[in-house]
Amino acid sequence: MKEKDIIERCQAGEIEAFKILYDRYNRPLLHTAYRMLGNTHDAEDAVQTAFLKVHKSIKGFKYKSKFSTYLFRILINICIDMNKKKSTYSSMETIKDSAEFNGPDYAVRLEIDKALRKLPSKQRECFLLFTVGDRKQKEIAEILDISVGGVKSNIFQAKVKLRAYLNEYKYKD
Amino acid sequence: MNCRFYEKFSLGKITKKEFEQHLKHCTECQRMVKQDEKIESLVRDIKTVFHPDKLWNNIESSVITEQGISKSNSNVYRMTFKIMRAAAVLIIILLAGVIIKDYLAPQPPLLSDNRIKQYINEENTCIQTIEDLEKNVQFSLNNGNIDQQLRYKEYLETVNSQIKEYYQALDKNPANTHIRNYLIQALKDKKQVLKEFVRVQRNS
Repeated sequence: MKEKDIIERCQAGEIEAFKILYDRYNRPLLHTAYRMLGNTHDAEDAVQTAFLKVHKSIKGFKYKSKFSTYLFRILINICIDMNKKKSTYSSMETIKDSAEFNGPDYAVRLEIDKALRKLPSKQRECFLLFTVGDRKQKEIAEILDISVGGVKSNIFQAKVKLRAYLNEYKYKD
Repeated sequence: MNCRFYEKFSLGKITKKEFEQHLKHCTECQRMVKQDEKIESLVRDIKTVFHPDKLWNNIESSVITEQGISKSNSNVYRMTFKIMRAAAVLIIILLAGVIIKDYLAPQPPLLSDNRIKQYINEENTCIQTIEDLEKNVQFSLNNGNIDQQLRYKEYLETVNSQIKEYYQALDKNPANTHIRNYLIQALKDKKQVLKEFVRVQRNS
């Protein structure tokens, strides 16, 4: 089914159509929010808030951008606000308890997580939207309201820093 | 890091084909690409378990609650709108009534001084007759049919209140023909009723 048809049904108030959009996007949104916020609980909260905001404003959606752009922009803004409200990022103690930091690659995952947190916010947002959110560079530019060149540069800088950070911690491929 | 080809490719300054050619013989770029692929795959590979069904239940129930509230709000707005519309219609009707009454309705013809005197004479004649008749009227429990007496009394009270209102109106506008006519008619009615009542009393 075409996304436009689903959105029109949502605009007419069909909750079933909204569920289709939820099924389509909940995974990349949850993963992006998780990497942005650092824990499952906050990620689920952010995604829930994003979908409720979208539901409230979907009648006014005019297809000026792709629906996914609109959805991710809302999510990113929510994550930024949530990070601002938190005085510090989630403590590593709580993160270590999660499934993410058990099993193989445990040490590397922990280091990557630390390194992601150290990135400047724009670099982290660009890198996460590109990798976890699976968005194209053009779409990331629209979501974050920056140029495509800016997106490329931010992703590259993020990769350089992550590489350097992991090399510093004797990460070997 | 000395080779800048990977950076140039990442920033879109050289094509993919150019970079792939370069990659074949540059070990530094090969290492960077490999490391980046590993980092990206680790970042993508999230082990945490989410609960999308539970999350949807929360979203759905919030949406349903919200829709319920907005529906009830819209009912309240609709009701308020109806009341306001009814009030507006009422105000328009009242204003129209005032305008018609004060400006558009034909004004009653005014009596000349001579005609007023004639009316007053006629009224006084009636009043005199009424006063004479009233002297003969006795409302009493021992006097004839009680129900009949009460009916006459009630009717006379009604006529008296009308006469009182007409006099009050004439205080403001003594030349109003309509009210003068109504007053004369009311006085005549009262006279007639009293005459009848006196007759009935005599016969009983």
